[in-house]
Amino acid sequence: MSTSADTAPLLSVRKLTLRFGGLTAVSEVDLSVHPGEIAAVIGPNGAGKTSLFNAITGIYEPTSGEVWLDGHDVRQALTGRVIAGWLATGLASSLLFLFIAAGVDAAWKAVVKAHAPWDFTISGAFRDLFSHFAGGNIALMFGFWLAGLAIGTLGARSVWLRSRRTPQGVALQGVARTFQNIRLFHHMGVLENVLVAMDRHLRHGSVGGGDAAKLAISGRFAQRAWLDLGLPLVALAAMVGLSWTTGDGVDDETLPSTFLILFVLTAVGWLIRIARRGALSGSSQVIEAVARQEALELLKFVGLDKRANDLAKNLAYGEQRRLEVARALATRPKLLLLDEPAAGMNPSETVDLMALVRSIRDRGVTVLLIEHHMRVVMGISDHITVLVHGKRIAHGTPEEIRRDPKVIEAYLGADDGGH
Amino acid sequence: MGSVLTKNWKQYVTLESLLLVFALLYPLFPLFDLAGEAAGLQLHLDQRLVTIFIYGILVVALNVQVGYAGLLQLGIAAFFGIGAMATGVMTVDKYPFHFGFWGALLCAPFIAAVAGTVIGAPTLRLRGDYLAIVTIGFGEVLRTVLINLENITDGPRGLNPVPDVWIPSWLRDFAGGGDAGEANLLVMYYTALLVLVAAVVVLKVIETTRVGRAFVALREDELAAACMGLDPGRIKLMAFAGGAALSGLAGCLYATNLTTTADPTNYDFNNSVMVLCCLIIGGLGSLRGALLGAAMLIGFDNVLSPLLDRAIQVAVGDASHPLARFSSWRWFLFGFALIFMMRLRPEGLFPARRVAAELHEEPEEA
Amino acid sequence: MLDTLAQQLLLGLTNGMVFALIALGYTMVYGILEFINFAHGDVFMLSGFFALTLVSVLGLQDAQGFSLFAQLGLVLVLASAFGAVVNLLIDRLVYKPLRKAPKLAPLVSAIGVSFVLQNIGLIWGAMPLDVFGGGGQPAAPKSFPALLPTTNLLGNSAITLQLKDVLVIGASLAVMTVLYLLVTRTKLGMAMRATAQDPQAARLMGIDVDRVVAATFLVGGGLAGFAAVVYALYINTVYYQMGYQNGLYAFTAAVVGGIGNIPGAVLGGLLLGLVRAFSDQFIGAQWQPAVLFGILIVLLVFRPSGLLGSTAREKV
Repeated sequence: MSTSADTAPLLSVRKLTLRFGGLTAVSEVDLSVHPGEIAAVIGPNGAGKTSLFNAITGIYEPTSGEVWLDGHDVRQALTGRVIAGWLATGLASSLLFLFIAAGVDAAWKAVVKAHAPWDFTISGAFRDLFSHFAGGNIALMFGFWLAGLAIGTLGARSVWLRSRRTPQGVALQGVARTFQNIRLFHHMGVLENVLVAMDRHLRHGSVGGGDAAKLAISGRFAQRAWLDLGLPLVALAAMVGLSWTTGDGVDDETLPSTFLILFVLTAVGWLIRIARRGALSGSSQVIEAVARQEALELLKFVGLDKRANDLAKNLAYGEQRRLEVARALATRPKLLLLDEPAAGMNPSETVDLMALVRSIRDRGVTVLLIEHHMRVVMGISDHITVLVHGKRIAHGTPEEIRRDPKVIEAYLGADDGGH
Repeated sequence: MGSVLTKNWKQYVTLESLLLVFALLYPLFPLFDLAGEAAGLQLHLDQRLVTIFIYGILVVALNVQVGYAGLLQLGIAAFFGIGAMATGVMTVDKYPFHFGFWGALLCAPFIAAVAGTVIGAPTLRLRGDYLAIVTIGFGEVLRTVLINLENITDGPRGLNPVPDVWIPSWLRDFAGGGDAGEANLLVMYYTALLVLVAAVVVLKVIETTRVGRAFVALREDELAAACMGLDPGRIKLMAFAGGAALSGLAGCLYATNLTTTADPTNYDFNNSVMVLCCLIIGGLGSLRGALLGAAMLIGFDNVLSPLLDRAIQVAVGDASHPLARFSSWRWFLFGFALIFMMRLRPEGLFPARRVAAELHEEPEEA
Repeated sequence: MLDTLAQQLLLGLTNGMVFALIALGYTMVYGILEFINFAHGDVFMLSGFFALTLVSVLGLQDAQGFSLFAQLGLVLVLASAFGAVVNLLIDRLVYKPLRKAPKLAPLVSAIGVSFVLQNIGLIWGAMPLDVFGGGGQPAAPKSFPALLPTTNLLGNSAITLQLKDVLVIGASLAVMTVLYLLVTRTKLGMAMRATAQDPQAARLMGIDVDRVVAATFLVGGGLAGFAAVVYALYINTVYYQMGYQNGLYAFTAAVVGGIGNIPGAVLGGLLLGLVRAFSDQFIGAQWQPAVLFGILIVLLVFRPSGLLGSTAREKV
């Protein structure tokens, strides 16, 4: 389609290596996919194609090498906010350690129990706490505080380092995929499968193709949602606050009891409302309805709208594959990875599939696929990368690949069965 | 697709409306009690039901964690205990806080949720089995902390007296007809019922929303769900903290009902497993099952086990023998119940349809 | 001060050996079936009761010299056999039918088995034997007779080293060596390791996975039975809940070492034993669970797969 060489690549895999113990599944593979194209990775069985997909989508952590998307490393960047998060965790755990060193029990005795309940003041409590600390073993407490700070900060860092590259992190950056062995949510409905993939858009209310009017409605409902749950809570808090400030012998019950009754009434009203509409708030009800429309449109796109209410496991094999595609598209990806989409399909289904992949590309989604079916690959790909034993041996247009002696040798040498 | 008539009829038989029946039944309890006395039983239906309601909330809370999110939580009683102890500290006379019941009801779930987050955040992302050991461990730690921080918790005696549910005095006079004990029981009964109904309504709605869908997707295929952009760690933490908050709420009611935070051994592993038993016998992932499981097991403990005691004493022939009490055989019952349920009916007696299908599917070999 | 340290080091080592023996049973089963056998600690407990009953039947409290050691050896062997058989029976009757069920099923069953075994222990304690105090109080700890001489082997040194310390450490090391040889040198051990790595592939290679699982439960149960006698000789009590806490610590040890990893279980056990001894001495025994589980959580944050564990990858 496009002459992609001059545009910036959407996906670029740089010297990616993936080792499991002694086995090297992927070895220093480079791969670029440009926006708007259909690219393919081919190779004999065990060439490391699925491993490469797993590394791109964040399921495997590459032994070395990088995956960049749209000019950014797919790993979460180390920003000031991240470091602030570590420090906050560190501070929290340092306080915990400090109190352990100071003796929580003794501190409580010195601060709370030292006075009669009615003599307790917050400023007095802080004074008592400081004098309790001052009377303790300062060196020990400082040591514990420091240890707590270190453990909390380093622990948060260690957790962050482990979760820099996650499947959900990569998915949120606009990469969706299907699986070689179909991984649908089998006991969920067809429509629900698609809705699950729209979770993020549902959370942000960004459904219905960003339709401004609909969003405005959901915005107005969102305010109502705060009223719904907020009113009972405010009433309860007001009641507690009032009876607390008036002290023990509550002489004047009028206001607290008014608020208590208000709380019970608004809470019961809220419960009845949410039970009747089946959604926690009006806005989520609207968003859900719009999202169902959008999901139905996607199902129509892959030709499954008639089966929206069936269970996913009851679909035929080819239909399951198409549902996986619809589910992946529901995340609104920039890049769609298809892992052997034509596997197990008959010739007419394969033709349909090729049309489907083209129309996905025409929706503005870039496609990278793994395929054994040579007819599919040669028919729809703009660029093809050939992997053998985890190494990239060739890259080019279908024409170039067809003529490449290395590829011919690899395919004649390794009887792979697909053509 | 039944006829219109049956559909109309069925739409009113919901869990909430069945629970509301209990609200209407309350005035009839003295009659039941009288009937029970005639049969030689001390029923005290109102008191027993309050206990069942509170445990019902706790089992429903565990259901959020185990049934919805598939987390191996084996220390639910610890969060129950945190709720109870927070209530005690916030309300008893000898401490200066005096939040009263409603203040505690507002704060206890929050405190339990914070504890749940602190425990869950570093461990929920790890292999699922680790959570089992971490939650048991947390239960042990909480028990020792409650016993050892004697200045705060009053150790094995527990903090007391925890004040009753506060309602305006004119309402109290009206409710009890002047009898304070009667009024407290009635107010406790309706408060616990209201909290239970609220929990059930909210969770039933959540089951149908995107959060409920995310739970199912995560149980079915965590990796596929993650590849669709769902954050398993975040969703699990949400379920864990939410379940902890609900347990804290139950704990608050528990302490208020007993008017004491009680002995910390009330919040140990055995109690956690009993709650798990209720859930598994009732039906994992099913609100109806959770409540019926709680009713069956707690009811069994309260009503049937005294009867069994008598039967065993007759059988052993010596009332003072240590084995002449049902409590010496109780764990056989729970143990075998768990084993046989898992073997024969892993989805529980009153299953959720979807969970039943999931549990009967053989896991795919990768 | 130095004496105290040395003494606690010794205490920690002996304690750690017992933890390690129990932890091995957890870790071997987990390595092959990926399942926490919650009832394992209670197999340990029941073996303790079995050993105490044997001691009573053999009249071991009155035996002396060679006959004492010979009979003690017999008790060790029989208790190990008892633990092995009980563990295997549990697997065949309860876990095996659930092999293909979702993960929750065997785990919950194991909790159920654990309660059943605890109740058996409680009833066992009601046996009208002298060693059980006539059986009047089934729940009370039963004292296991101090069979070994309690003289200090180091003479008048401030550090106490009794024969039982030597026996615990020596016997545990011997058993672990045998286990090591079994796992690394024999065909069965090779099959075990292969199955632990990839059950599917192992089955394809013609390994009878079912036999390997049976062997694992036998070996694990045997270790628990052995540990029970060693523990009883050392602590001198047996009670029906001892499986719960020791099992919990042992499982923690297995996780600390890296679950599924055999040397890891030993390392974790020793480490936990040492930490426990030192925390009891310097922090206070009442804080024991808080210290141990605190360490577990910190370790899981920094090294989720344990000290010696490797990170497993899910297959897609």
